[in-house]
Amino acid sequence: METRYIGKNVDRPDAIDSATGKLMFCAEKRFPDMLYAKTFRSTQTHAEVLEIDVSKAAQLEGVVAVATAEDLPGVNIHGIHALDQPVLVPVGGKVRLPGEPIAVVAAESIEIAEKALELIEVKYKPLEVLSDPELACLESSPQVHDKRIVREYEYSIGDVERAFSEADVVLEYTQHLSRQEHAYIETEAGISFYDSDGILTLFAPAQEPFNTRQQVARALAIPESKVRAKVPNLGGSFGGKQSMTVQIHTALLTYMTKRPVQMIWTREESMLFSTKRHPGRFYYKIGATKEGMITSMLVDFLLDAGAYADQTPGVVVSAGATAIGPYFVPNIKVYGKGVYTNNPISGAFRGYGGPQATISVERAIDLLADKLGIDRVEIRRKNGLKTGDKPGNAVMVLDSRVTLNDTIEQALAMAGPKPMPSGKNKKVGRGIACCMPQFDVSAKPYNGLTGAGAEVELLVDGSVQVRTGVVEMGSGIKVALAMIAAEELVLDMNKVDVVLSDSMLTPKAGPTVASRAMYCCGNAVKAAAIQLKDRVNIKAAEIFQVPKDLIIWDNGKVYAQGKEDQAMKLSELARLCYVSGTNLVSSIFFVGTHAHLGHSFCTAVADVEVDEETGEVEVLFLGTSHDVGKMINPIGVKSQILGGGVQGMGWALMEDMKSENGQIIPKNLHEYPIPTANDIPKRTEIGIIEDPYPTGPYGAKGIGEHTNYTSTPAILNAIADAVQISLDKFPATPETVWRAMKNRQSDAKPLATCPSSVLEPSTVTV
Amino acid sequence: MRRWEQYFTPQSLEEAIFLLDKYKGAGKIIGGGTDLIPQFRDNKEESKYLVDVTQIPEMKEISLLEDSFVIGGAVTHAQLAGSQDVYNYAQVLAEATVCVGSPQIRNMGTISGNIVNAQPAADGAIALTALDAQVHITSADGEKVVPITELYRGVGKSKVDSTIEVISKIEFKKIDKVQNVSSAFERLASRKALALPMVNVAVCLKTTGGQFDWARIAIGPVAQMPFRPFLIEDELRGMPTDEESIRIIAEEVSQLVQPRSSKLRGSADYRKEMVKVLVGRALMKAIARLGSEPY
Ligand SMILES: Cc1cc2nc3c(=O)[nH]c(=O)nc-3n(C[C@H](O)[C@H](O)[C@H](O)COP(=O)(O)OP(=O)(O)OC[C@H]3O[C@@H](n4cnc5c(N)ncnc54)[C@H](O)[C@@H]3O)c2cc1C
Repeated sequence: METRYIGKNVDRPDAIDSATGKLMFCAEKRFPDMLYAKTFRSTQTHAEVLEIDVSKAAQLEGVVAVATAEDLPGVNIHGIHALDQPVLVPVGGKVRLPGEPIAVVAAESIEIAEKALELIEVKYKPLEVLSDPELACLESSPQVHDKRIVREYEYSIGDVERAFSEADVVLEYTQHLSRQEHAYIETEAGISFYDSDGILTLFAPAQEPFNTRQQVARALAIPESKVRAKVPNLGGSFGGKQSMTVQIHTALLTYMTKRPVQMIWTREESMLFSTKRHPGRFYYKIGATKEGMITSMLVDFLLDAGAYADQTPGVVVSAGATAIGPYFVPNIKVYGKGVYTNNPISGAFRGYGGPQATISVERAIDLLADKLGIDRVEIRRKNGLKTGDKPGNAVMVLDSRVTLNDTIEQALAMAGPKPMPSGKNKKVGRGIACCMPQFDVSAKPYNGLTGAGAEVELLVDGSVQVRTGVVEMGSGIKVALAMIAAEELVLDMNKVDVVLSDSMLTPKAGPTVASRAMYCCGNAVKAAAIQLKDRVNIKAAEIFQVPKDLIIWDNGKVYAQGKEDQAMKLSELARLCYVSGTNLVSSIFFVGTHAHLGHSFCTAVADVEVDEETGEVEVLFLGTSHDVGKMINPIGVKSQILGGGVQGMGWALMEDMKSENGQIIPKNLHEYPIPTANDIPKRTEIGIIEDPYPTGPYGAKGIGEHTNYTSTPAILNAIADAVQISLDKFPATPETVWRAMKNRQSDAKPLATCPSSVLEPSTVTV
Repeated sequence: MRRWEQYFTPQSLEEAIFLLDKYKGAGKIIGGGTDLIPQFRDNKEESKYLVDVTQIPEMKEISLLEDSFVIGGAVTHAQLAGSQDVYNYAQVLAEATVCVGSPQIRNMGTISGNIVNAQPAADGAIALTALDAQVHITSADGEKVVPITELYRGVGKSKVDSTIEVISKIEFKKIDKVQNVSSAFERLASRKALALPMVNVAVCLKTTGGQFDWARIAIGPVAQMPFRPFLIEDELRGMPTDEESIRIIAEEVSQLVQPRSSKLRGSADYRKEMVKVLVGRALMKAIARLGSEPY
């Protein structure tokens, strides 16, 4: 079908401004009469708060308000999946990690606010710190919350024990996962003020304005209708800006002072107190026949939730659902849990537990292939899921025609022959990794993400406004939604504007998470545009005296088929509709029809060169093949794939938000390296498989998170291929690789042992 | 963040000295500010008057003389990395300065700031140490010329007191292949840009007939300042420039250095081993650059 925009490259209208620094972010805005806010944070890791004295700070000239828990009119609690986190830790309460907010100050300048923090005195009674998640369930360990386990996951099918006893080969492997920082460019920042209607208005980055509205209203004990939350331009999130950061604090200070208040976290504050990707451990036991058919898998995983539940309940489930990988396995037992510790809070991060599981299973599959003496690609081909197969979880159904093997073949074809080493002491290796990521389709039983509202309005000048509540997180949803409206209404893109993420202006559409925005809002906008056109066509049919299906829209003109010369301007038609009582705002609340999550397949191939003397790793090639359904905006899809791939490479090679006894070690982006433009692999290829997904808008599936699953394990597998090292711990920094190579011979690795929890899972607690 | 009160942009060295003299220690020289401004931000710096030397024309020049280089005190890393003369006749400095930070940092950061900030692995300073640079320091009392190796008091502590004196220029002998003199730089870091080195090494050397005439080796960060293994440099005079000798030299240097363990930039034993690898590679590279030179 000939399309106007769908499937064609359209640049994001904000691209040039973002690249040249012209786009304004929350931290750059200044309002008249604005106060500057700063947070007093706990220096203790785990302690009871005995006394808080803010009197000296309050007396400092230029300080307008100092707020502690006592000043909070509503409920002193927030959280997304579980309400367990205080807005401000009160006297008698506990701090559970370094950096927890105890008081907030609003002053006439940042400098005064900073000075005021130095005058606040807090007395603590230190408590024993729990930093090792493996010890979290022991009775003798310090207790961070009333319960120790945030969430458990269990899934089983068949009889794993019997299958192991009958298997030709059984492999055991334990993969450890490091903690990753989102490292978005924009740190957390927000501004709050009362508008002229007395509505407490809040501009702050988040992944959904409605959640902000709800949490602020609850904490301030005011109706949600008195709060407006707007997410303005957002400088990166990757899952990290879902929880409350500055929002309740600035809102509270505006509530107290009636003045606009701005709070900007420094990079150090952001790294100290933002959520991270869950670190953890995945144990695998895999049984297979000597031909390489996998007969059973037992998985026991542990994720470190850190000091609060945040997204852990969801992440545990998502990790569990990904743990078996994109393979057909008849006998499965997966048990996993997320536990409280005094470590940094783990939250959502692009893939939501899926990448942790994917890295682990993909390392294990390589080791299984090696043990069997079978080619590492061949074992994946043999076991890859095909249409109609039952996947290793209860939340997916293989309902599209693309199979894992389609992506494997495409990725290998892009890779071509393995490169030659560039010199002596250099070794080249190739790695492959596969996955089956999930995406939300607004299907009823899952996650409470049901539904996405959108409005499309035709204005009397012939322009169109699209309104929906999701957030533009840099993935290009805004331009893609404009493309959809322009496509359906046969308009030029510059006639369509998209307004997003404002709780007062846009319909509730759920958060931008779970790779769902395109699927859910794309469907909603498409349906709303069709509904609007249909309504206007009733009037047009009346005017042109033809049946309504003979009305043609063409670039801002409307005419009856064959009578182009009598065309009417869309603006004129809109005016006529308006004066004769046609509603020019169409509104759709999209709810998915599936009883399961969406899925796609992906395979990455990476070539690396390892310097045997220094341990340095250079990624020579990264190619990924994605089953995307249909690309709405190809340039957007491809930049997501490249970006997600490089982000995964950073985790594989350099990123590690280490902590010791609950205290993080890298304190800023100087101490926590992420890949720079120079680090992007020498050669990258992106493979796209388009087979329209019947329920997706124009056939589109989700993609945002899917790009972040396979580059990490493909690169780790390539390093292992090059220099035969274990990599059960990563990132593969030069020193880590060097040390592993040094210990290669002496390191006769003992077989991993099965954690006892597999045998006796306790009952689910959330 | 602390802030200065006044910011001056003198157009001549005399004017800069006059301002420092006038404020008697309350003023301070600023080059590109890439070290100084972060220090203000972290409340570690409190000078009231900043004297910016980057608009003084003679301090912005790179001059190649008959057999030496004169580098103005406010020359940036970008200028050095982009200079054909530096590439041809002081390659180690070109290679080192192109590794500094990112384009933004190289455009702002100056070579003098790199010396005065006194970090033991400052890339520019490591190269200048191997080049045996002579640093011209001007104050109200006049000018003195001091070898770069004598400008360090400790980590982050320079003997140059930038509240009263200015590095006006830096001088060193040119590295000329025609005279069998050559140089090279090697560096190991956590990523390819914007990363301080885990280890960096600069070498300059001269050979005759397949033997070392002399070599200067500078290594960071393995001591309080850019480190030169003088004893080993003495020892290698007259040694053959073959792979085996270089391996032995590199091994000896590595035995000598005592790098610290850093949670972020590598443990001591790894760094020690990397000193061996990088010293070996830098020497090999410099010798290879002499190309046609017969053994
Ligand atoms: C993001 C980032 C990355 C960096 N990466 C690197 C790197 O990879 N390698 C590296 O070596 N360095 C690096 N640096 C450090 C810094 O950029 C360099 O040391 C630079 O050369 C400092 O020069 P400047 O002109 O900016 O110094 P300034 O900050 O202006 O000054 C530093 C000190 O030198 C004094 N000073 C400056 N000029 C003179 C002069 N002419 N006479 C007397 N005193 C003077 C000042 O008073 C001050 O005490 C990095 C810095 C940043 C912020």
